Amino acid sequence: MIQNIKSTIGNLQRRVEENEPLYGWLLLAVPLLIFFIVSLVPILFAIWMSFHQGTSILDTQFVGFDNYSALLDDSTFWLSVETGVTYAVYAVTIQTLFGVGIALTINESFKFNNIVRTIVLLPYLVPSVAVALVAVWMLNNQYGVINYFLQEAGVTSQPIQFFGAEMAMHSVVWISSWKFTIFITLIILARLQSIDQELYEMAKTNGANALNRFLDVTLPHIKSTLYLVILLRTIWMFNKFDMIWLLTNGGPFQETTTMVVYAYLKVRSLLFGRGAAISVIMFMMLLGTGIIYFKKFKPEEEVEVQ
Amino acid sequence: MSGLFEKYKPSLALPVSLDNRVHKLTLYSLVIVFMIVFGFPLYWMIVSGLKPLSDITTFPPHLVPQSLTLHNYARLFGESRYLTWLSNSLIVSSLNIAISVSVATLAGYSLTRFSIPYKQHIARLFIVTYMFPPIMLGIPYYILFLELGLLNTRLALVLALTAKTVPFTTWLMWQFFQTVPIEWEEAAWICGSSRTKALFEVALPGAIPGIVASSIFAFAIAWNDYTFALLLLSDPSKKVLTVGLNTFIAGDQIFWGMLMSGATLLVLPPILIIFFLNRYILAGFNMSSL
Repeated sequence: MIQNIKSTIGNLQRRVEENEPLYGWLLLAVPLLIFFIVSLVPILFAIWMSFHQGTSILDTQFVGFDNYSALLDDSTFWLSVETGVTYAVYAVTIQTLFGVGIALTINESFKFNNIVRTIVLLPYLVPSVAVALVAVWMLNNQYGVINYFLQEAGVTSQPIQFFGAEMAMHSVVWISSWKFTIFITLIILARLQSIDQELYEMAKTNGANALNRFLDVTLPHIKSTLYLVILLRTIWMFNKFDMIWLLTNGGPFQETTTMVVYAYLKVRSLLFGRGAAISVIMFMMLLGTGIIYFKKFKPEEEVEVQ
Repeated sequence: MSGLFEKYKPSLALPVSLDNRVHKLTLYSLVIVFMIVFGFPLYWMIVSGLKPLSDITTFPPHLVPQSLTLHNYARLFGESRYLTWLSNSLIVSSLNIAISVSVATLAGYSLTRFSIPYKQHIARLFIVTYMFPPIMLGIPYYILFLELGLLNTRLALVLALTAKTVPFTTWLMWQFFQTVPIEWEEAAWICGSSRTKALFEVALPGAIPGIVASSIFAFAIAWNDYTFALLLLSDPSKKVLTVGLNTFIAGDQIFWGMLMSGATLLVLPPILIIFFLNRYILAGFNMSSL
């Protein structure tokens, strides 16, 4: 009996394996199914939710575009759009400048290169929660070590309120960048190492200074990679929730309430439809930016799919 | 190519030796600045976690601690639910690694070994999911899991995190399997091995660097996650480390020492990983063809 079953399974296995496309699709079916369940279904459901009101599936009403039109009339929503875009653009600008700068620096060969590389690359692996907690501790206005340094250096006589209305946005952006700059460094560094050193020597013998060498040799080589990482980082910073929420809860006075934070606040007050509508608008904004960006800079030339 | 540089006049450049010295000086000072900016917060976190209660909230702060103690760590494990959160984090991360890596391996294998139509479209689909705001997934998860009675379970978090990790791990495995020569498998087939057997005994061992790299990335994402955990787990016994740790900060009195020792332990696993598995991470970064 067992022998029988075994040979039947064996036959079946052989027959499936001989049918190339079928076998391939069978192997791919599980991943695709999981992908549909955990990604596609929730996203479609989010879009569906944005046209409904209610707190559970069984108890919802179709409200058409009400969620969207309510948002368009909501001045806090518009403020959150502005804050969200500011946060993303401000943070990505800093990350790009410093990310490329650090990559150029550690690409030069000098002593202790490995130790420096490891320490500089660490932040990307430090969980956002730890970054936020340490930042809040270091920037504390009573015992914070940063305020101590600033007072010692004579920059300020009063402790700076880093999470007060005036400074909150700057603090959140710079703290986020402490962690995420390294992403750009890592990728640009890999690209830099593929540049032929002879080009630099050639430029040097022709009398090109450091700036000339950067503009004529380095920049053309890292340009397309740079376009791609800038796009990725913009998307991720625009979607960033944890860092902002941990540092300021969107405050003070909504100074740091980005679109994601506002969506989360809506969810917390059980306005699921409203929150979903914000997330759909965010996605549309990203999609629009992405399409324009791809048309203009063609960063996909960097990605090869075989 | 050399024609490109002819526009420069050699005479205008600084003398080479001076140029080199200036260059070295700026380089070293920049490196020192980077080391301080990135190293000091980590030093301060570790040191603050080891300071006794009396020493921690002094102003001016002692940059080098007067005395060291493990008191904060003892309180962390003795008086808080740290151990529960830690084990929850470990459970969630391991399950997430198991699911996302096996899914990615299957997908990566089939996408490289079979002529599957619309490959390019599937690849793009994976990339597009990166653009979806996590909150756009978080809201439906909350409602769906509530409906299914899965809210406040670790399984809910594992499933949610899978959505975050699978696109990337699949991408990685896809790239990795392209480096495993199909000739190895063909040799096994000729020797009479079945296709499935060849997959497990020939192709998989060849893809181990990719599997390790995918596991590291899946772990990093799961271990880091705060957003989904905050949305999906509110029961104190189900909380993971990231959310649990942050509850210390609520309330009137903040125990900074405990908070910093807790943060140190949160940072430790990723640091150990980069220390011991560095080459796999770099391989992963090179593979993702970024």
